[in-house]
Amino acid sequence: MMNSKKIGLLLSDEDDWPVAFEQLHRRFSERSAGRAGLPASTVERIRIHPFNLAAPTSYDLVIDRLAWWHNHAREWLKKAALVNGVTLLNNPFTFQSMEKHSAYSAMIRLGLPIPETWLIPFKTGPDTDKFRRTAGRYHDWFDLPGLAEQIGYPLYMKPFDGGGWRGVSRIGNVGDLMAAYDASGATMMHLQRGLENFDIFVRALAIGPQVNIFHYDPARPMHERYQVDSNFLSAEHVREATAVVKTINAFFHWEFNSCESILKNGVLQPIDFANACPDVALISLHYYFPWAIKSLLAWSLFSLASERRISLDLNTADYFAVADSDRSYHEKLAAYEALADAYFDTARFEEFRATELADLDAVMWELAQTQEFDDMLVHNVRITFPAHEQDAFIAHFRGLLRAWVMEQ
Amino acid sequence: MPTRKLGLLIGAEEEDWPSALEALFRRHTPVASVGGEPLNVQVERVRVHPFDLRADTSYHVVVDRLGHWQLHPREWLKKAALFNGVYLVNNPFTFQSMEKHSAYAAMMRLGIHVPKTWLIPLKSYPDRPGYQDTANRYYDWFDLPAIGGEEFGYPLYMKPFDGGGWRGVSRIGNTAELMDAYNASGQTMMHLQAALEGFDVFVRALGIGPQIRPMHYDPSKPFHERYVPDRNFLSPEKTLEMTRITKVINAFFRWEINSCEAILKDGLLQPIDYANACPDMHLISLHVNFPWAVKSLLAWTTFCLATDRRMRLDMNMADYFAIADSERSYDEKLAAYEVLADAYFETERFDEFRHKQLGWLDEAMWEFVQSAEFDGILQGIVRDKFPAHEFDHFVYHYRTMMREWVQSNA
Repeated sequence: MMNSKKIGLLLSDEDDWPVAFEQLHRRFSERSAGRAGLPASTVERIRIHPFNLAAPTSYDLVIDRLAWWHNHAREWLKKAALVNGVTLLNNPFTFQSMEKHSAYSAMIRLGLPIPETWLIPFKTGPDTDKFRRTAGRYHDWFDLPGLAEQIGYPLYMKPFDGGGWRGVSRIGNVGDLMAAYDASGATMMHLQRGLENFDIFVRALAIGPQVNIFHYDPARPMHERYQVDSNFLSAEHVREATAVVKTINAFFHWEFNSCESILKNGVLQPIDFANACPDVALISLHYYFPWAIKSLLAWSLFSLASERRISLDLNTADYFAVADSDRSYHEKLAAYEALADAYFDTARFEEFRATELADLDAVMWELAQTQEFDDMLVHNVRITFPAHEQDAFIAHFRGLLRAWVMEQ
Repeated sequence: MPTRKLGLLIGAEEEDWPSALEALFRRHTPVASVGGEPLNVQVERVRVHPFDLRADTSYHVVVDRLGHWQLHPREWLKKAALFNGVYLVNNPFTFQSMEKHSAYAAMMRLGIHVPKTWLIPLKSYPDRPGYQDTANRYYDWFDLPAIGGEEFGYPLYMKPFDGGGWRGVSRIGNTAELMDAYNASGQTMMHLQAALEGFDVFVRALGIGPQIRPMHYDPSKPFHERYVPDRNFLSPEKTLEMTRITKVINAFFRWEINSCEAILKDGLLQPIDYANACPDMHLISLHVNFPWAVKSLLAWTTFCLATDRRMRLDMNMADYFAIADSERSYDEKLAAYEVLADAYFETERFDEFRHKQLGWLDEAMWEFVQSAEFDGILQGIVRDKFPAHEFDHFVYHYRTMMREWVQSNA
């Protein structure tokens, strides 16, 4: 009998998936109690307080949703990884120092068809004598309109870091360009070639080696972006999108991330794939929400049962060796995916999922039909939408979840 | 062997060591030979401008002194490492995500005698939606005076969790000072650290590749007097231990120009500050140690260029942790860590290269320090850093120190 393990949730103000995760964990623990290959576990929300850097911890695994904007939580995670060897979803080190820009650079090196991207010095530098002297000596003048002309309009200006759609503008002409640059201030910006008139916008959610590929419409409001549509992409492109997101995540040791790609003229082009805290809100994922919750629990339980240790040491050199070899893009992608499967221990995970966790699907299916799950749904609609829309949205989300239940 | 290019990514405040390094490379061409072919090193100061993430680069090695405070160069460095495979001194990734706090945590895991340290939540919340709500839900109340008085006892130090130098550090003697310092900390996240007072020796070691130089340091003096020109301040055992600690820290995090400050008290060598992405290399600070720093930088960068050393972005922390978790004494662990560090730095190969290929370096530096060009560098940095009315005084002061260095190295 293994000792009981503890899963920590490091949260901000999310009220949906943590509640569903706790419910599913409780129900599945009752169902699976005493199962030989599955250690008993508890789930606890992590509290924030001063800590000794040498302190022990009671957590074995932490799912982090806070550290990307909260320094104290981030530094606690680093201590938990370095001193205590706690397994973390996600890796706080690479999410800090290899965010969007580095992720682009590395994946370009691997040969992924990332649209042409430039980094522009910021419009407004630090207000210090040190900066002004350095800029005067070492910064070149540059011709921003000429550069945009070279990339071609339309293009996108977006912050070099951070995810979501914050600070992204579509630039149609030189007037837009100069206005957006002037407004960027101290935020450093990428210019990226715009992919318009595309065929499909794809969003992949990945939890460990588990990947789900969604049809996504970024033009719609948040609650309508994920399309309930499972036949929007050819089998080849589903495989490619899956290999791409697994490669990215294994490369950076990210275990809970989303990847957005655009399919245009037959080429699947990833454009946003460094999301330390991917959207798993019930309001956004709706029909796909149960998949996210059970995948998160499955990966957590596998990590605990297999005593998977966080691997802080990357193996980028292995990927670069493939990148620098004489192989086609698809051969390289297959080789990257093999490295990713080794990192995620995919075969062993799938075996575990099919045996020890075989009834997890049934428990999720039952949970989605309970009063406690419905209470969670109603609460989240109430805190998200204005009063006059709440009843309609409660019916809307209940309908989507009922459709999921019917189809399982 | 074709010409190799060394980039210097520097700010306007540094003109002394870059000029000295450039002069030494210029004075001795070719700098070395590789496989019978002359190795020419072209030194160039890196310029800042927009760049395509797919752009080629002409640099083979870049010495970075700017990435720790300027984002655009930092992100250029990352692209240069990830896309172009440029060799960087230092590693911008670990200096961003494993600064002071992580460096403490990791070295505690290795069993290094870092003084007791706590991290305290921010005094003032950032003006960000969600912050207050998160605090209401998940923050515990805490009793700071009890932590100060009972967990630590006074005096203690409060210092920012990141960043180096002495910025924002306060010595806390009692509860009132603790509360005042915390209230003043605002949105800067703070460590509390046990103070080591009444110590025997304060040591600062500069590490450049595998070359480590422990120096006697007096932090209570003004900057230009902190390095005490005293080579016999530490026993051979403690000198070896300090050398090992600095080398291990640098290899662990892949830092190749870094400084490490440690306090020797009651026989324990206790490192307190050792994550310095841009350690002070000024002539006016290092004075008689300045020639060592410039020579060491030339030797390490030349070795990297000549051997096509590849930057190792992939760490091997697990190897260190395996030793840390084993049943060995502190001294045995330190010796085992040093073996890993020497493997990382290829120390034996470097030492041989330095001896066989760069035998000219010591004499060239000795001659250069006596040249008019060096004196121009000396005057330039004194003019830049001291008020005009002190110029003559400090030029005389540093000329005297460098003359002493020349005489003692004759």
